[in-house]
Amino acid sequence: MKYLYGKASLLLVACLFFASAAMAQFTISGNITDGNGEPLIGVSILVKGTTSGTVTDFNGDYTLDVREGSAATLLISYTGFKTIEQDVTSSTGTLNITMEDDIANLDEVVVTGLASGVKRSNSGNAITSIEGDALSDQTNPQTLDNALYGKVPGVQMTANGGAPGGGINVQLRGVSTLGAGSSQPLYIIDGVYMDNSAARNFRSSVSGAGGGSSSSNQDNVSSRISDINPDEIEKIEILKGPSAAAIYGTRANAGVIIITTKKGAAGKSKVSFSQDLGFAKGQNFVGFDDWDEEKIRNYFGSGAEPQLALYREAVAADRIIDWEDFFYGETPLLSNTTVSASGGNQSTQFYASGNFQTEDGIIKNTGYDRYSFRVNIDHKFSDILSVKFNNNFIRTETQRGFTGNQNNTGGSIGYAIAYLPSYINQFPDESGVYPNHPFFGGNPVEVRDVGVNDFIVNRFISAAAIDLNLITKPNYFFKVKINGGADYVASNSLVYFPETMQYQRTLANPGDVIRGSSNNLNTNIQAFAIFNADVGAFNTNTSIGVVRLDQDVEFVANRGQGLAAGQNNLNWAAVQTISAQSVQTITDVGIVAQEDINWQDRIIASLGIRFDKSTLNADQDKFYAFPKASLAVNLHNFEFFNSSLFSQMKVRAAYGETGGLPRFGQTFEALASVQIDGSLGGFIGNQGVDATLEPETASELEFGLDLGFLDNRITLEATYYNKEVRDLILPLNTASSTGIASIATNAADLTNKGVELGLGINPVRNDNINWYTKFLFWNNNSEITRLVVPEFNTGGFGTALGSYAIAEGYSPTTVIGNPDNPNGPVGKTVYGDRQPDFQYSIINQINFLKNFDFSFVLQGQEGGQAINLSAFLWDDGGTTPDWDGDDDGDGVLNGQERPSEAFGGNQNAGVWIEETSYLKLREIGLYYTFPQEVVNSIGFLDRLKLGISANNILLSTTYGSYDPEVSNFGAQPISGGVEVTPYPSSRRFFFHLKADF
Amino acid sequence: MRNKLIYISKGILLLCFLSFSSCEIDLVTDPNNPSVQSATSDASLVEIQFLVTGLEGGNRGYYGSASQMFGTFGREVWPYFASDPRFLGDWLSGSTYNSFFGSGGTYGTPYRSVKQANVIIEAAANSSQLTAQQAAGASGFAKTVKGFQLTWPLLQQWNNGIRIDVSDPLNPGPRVGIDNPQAAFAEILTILDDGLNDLNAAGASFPFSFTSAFSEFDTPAKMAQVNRAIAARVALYAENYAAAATALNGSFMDLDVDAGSSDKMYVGPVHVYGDPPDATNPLYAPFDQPTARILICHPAWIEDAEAGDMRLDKVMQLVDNPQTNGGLRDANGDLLVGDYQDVRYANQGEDIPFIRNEELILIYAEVNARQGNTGEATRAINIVRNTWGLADYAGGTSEDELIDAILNERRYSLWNEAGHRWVDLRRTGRLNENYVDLRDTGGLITSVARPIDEVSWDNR
Repeated sequence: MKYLYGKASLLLVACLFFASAAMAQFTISGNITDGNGEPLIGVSILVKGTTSGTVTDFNGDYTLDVREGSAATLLISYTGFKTIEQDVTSSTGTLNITMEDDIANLDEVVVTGLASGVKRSNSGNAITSIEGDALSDQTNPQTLDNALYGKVPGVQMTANGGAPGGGINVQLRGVSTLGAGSSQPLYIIDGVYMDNSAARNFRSSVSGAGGGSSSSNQDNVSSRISDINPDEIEKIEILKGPSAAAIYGTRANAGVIIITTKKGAAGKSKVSFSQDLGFAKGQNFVGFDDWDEEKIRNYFGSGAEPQLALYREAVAADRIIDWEDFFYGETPLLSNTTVSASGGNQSTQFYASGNFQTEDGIIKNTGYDRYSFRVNIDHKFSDILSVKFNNNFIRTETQRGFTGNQNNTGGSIGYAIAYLPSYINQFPDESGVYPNHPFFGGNPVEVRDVGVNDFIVNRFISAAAIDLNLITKPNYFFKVKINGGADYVASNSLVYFPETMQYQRTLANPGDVIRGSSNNLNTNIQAFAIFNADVGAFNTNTSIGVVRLDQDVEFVANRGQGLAAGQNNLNWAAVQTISAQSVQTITDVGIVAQEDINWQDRIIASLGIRFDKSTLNADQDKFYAFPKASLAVNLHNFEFFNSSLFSQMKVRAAYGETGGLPRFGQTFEALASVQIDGSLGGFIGNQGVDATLEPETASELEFGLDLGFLDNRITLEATYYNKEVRDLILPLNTASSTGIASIATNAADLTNKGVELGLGINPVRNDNINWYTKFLFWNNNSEITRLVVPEFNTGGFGTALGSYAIAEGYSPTTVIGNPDNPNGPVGKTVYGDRQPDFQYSIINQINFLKNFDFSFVLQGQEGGQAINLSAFLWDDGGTTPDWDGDDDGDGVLNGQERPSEAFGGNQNAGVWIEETSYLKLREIGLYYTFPQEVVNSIGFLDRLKLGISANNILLSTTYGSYDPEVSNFGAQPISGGVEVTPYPSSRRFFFHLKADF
Repeated sequence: MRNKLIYISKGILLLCFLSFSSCEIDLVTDPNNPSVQSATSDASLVEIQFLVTGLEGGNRGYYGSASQMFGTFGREVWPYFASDPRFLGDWLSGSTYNSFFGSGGTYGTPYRSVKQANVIIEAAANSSQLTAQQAAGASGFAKTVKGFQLTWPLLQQWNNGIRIDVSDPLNPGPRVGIDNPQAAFAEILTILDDGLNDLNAAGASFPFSFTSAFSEFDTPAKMAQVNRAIAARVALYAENYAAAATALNGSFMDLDVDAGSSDKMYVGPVHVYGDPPDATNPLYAPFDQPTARILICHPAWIEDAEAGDMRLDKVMQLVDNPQTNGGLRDANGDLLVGDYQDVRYANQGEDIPFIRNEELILIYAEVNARQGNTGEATRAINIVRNTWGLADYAGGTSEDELIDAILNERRYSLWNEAGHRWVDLRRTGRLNENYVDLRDTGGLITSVARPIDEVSWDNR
């Protein structure tokens, strides 16, 4: 450690001996336009090898002083256009430039190190990056992660349900942990480690869903990535596997998603206003079975008479209700308003934005509001020192209502209506008293109207960066970059069932409220020294640095039962208890070194290593090493390569290693407190400890070929990866007779192999039509290659209803269930795999008649299985659409045959396990940008754009419920894909207006 | 240039400062809970007290589950639990599978208390801070609870046998009692005997306090009576009638029951309950509410009762909210209505005796019947019958007839007390349709299949 820093310091001192001398100076000016002759605003013009440069103004004009020498090379770059290198001399004077579209984004800089990046064309990795306009300019996504659907090859995204506020399981290149570490990618926003933990709100305690396994996962809260406003994002870069993510070391096994927010550009200050206004409709209803007299007799048998009377009464009163339509049939208003201002001069640029998004759900009393305020400031004190501040305050208010699982409490609308015939009256009488649900613990209309499930988040994300350009010479430079920040998330939850509710009235202490509060603070800082030099034909870039992350999590939830009438303050509860209280303190420290070498853009190599330690490890003081290496060879840049067909031919290979940390608490063998008869006792926890526990490590080898044809009008990006995750932390499931359920231990290895293909075509490109289309295809195969603990099943509600097997030679997401099969994993029958065979998407962007933009994204998957326990409940309650059909003609009705097949003698858990292939039209949008002369004639406007769009409007699937994307248990690496009457997903339609002033 | 130098020096200083300060970390210890090691390495009396109270908490864990599941197997009750169709679908089906639905409460749960008891036994043996008498007191209580808790997985698993030596989680002992559960009960009996020896060596008082669960039994001598009561039950299940008779003698059995009062029938240690955060009485439910989760008395228990049996007061007929569930139908497919609710408990904090005098008297009757002492057996039967307003037993006195009579008294005396009926019929070879009303068209489960984790451990 000290040795390394000693070296870094020596290097710094050595650099001091280089000096510079002032020389002559000249001026270049001109105008920069795009292919259509439109001026480009904010184009960067930099004197190569220096930090001096400028940007074009509102008319595309620039003036640049070259301070040293009588000749120089200008680097002219602009996002979305090919970078131009132009030699100039003191006699050049005026230089007008037309920039060419960079269809394949080859000049875009992608991240390769914590303090370095390279042009995409030189990258040894397949790094997906998504520009801000592809996130929020096509349509208005429900949440930021929703905007990634279909745009990232190698990701499997599965929404947990359709509730406002979202919640998506994002798996980059397959499963990377079997449950110990973080299964979700690491999110970094402007250099700040984001807290993306799903806080608890204890809805599952009030609704009783905790009666099943994995109780804490059934709260159905939204993921915290939803706090980020997509409109404020400049770019998202996705490091999918360890070969690219190794720079993030010990937390990067599940990949890294790097978010960069917008910044101001020098030039005329700009004010933008954008308004999205729309509505949502339930996407796909199951269509519950009709109840008529025959059906009632079939279902109730000899007990049918009183039901028939109720039915006739309901028919006479014209009160036959389609409950699905009644509860999920709202048409909520969706609105998203953003006002932003940006601008600045050569030394200071700012971007400020205020955003208000409000969305109600398709179930009454559910919804999501977000307020986001951002100020980003870049300031250059001198050529040497520049600083950057990004500040974001966010408040989100989420009401997700009650859907999904419950136990006895009636605390789920979907569950309750599975058992609710269409003729049953559930509406309150004149005095506001709700009738009981005769076949269930709660009246769903009452649950909807009086149940409260509120979640409020106040969040600050602040980032700061200091760049010290200590030495800048034509042939070398030396910089110090320091950046860090904080993410502070304070959340409050309220889950409340008033004492008047049906189930509450059956309790000893009616009325139930749980109030949770959490304070999470992430702070991180990193400092890097970077030395870059041209040595002969080679450019070398050396960076050395340290990183540190601190996390503090405090959580408390208090419960009150036996509430005074109408009160949900805990003081008005007869029984007051602490549902949970916990503190977590975590520190990670890392040391990083990286060397990048570029030989004339022909061969680009990168080598790096990171050493990390973390207090989450059993050995908190031990450093673990995470190396990486990559190589890119641009064949088209070699002199021997002379083809008019190929504009790019790159072969690349990359290797890297990352880690996955144990969960907090896994290294502690704790006593649990027990309250009995007024006394406090300590009870042995059911989790043992392995003192030799190591972090999970993943290594990945990635190969790729990037081809560009016909001046990159056709591009092909092909990648193969083999990701091996070793020492997966698994519960060593001891025999439960030992009183210890499990010991977290390094017990398994896993491989994920896959192919990612991207074909981009620009088939038509003329003055009237510019059509760009992209096809993406990817697959992933997971297999457990080593397992040293006994095979076990995990997830779901036991093997009778379908579960997952952890067994050597099988995918970790293998769906299994009863009956026994001695040859199957865990001695059970295999029904398929939750992960699909392959996924694909088609993205089209068509600009026609200059001012029209039409785009759509189709995305689908083939294969995959989910455990549809909604259908299980519908069969039980008589509501399945085909309940009184008889598919096999044996005289037993479907709705009675399926349960009898599943239980009793046959024990066939496969009855409700269904394939999840689907094709969705994720996004479609049509925009019209008013011609500049029209806008100019209005006067105060600079730009005006109108549009209509929609998302998720088409769904094609054979899956027998609302949406083949589902997870009752939240974002889980293994055990998603289990549904219990979820919040149905919705289609969203929008009208858009965007104006710049 | 001078300016530059200042910047450079500042940069270096900053880098050095950051690099040194950021590599230092404070090691993190569990901020939320005490560690197990703190309690087991040279435990103090305070730590022993925490563990003993913890064991008392764990000792209750099986009760709700046993009453619901065993009770359903033996058709004492029907679980009208709408939350999951498997309560009825699986429990009434007559067939079982590995990791059977809802079976953890009488398997993993009692075994966790066994673990806790083993920790106390180990802590007591290793502590330098306890006197020999104090250590014997802790160990004697722990072994008593351990023996009691071990009976629950065995009653569930029966012919599969169970592990009894489970102190090392990575080297659990073999299954005992495969196809011979009596042998496993015999081994549990030796644990209880061992516990008795410890209690006898524990002096006049315990060095720690109990909750009101043992308020009548809070000295080593009194706790020994509890130990012997459990031993009597275990010996009966082990079919070791001589041992059962001896154990009854050491227990708190009291045959001197006043026919006019049932109070003495309920003498015994209890499981205590309270409002949260304490555990709540698992059998309490407010009367006649529109609930979708309630245990209902099987109608045959009402129908088969003798006229005037006061034990029927344990249930009351529902008026406003008789229960139905789509999963509970007769042979015609008609819904079976459940309309008798257990009303023994007035609130969710009410105690439940877990072994009591009435059972001991009936064990006494059974032991005597087995040993050919028909007169003493009949006397004990009559003590129970007279308490509940019934005339003396008038049936035959062959061993089989007496056993039938005793099982019938047990059916009413011990109704819905953690599943006696199923256990009794099985151990006496009577678990069949002649003894169990199967109007729900289901079947009879003899034993629950082994949990997957046990099978997997053996197959690893």
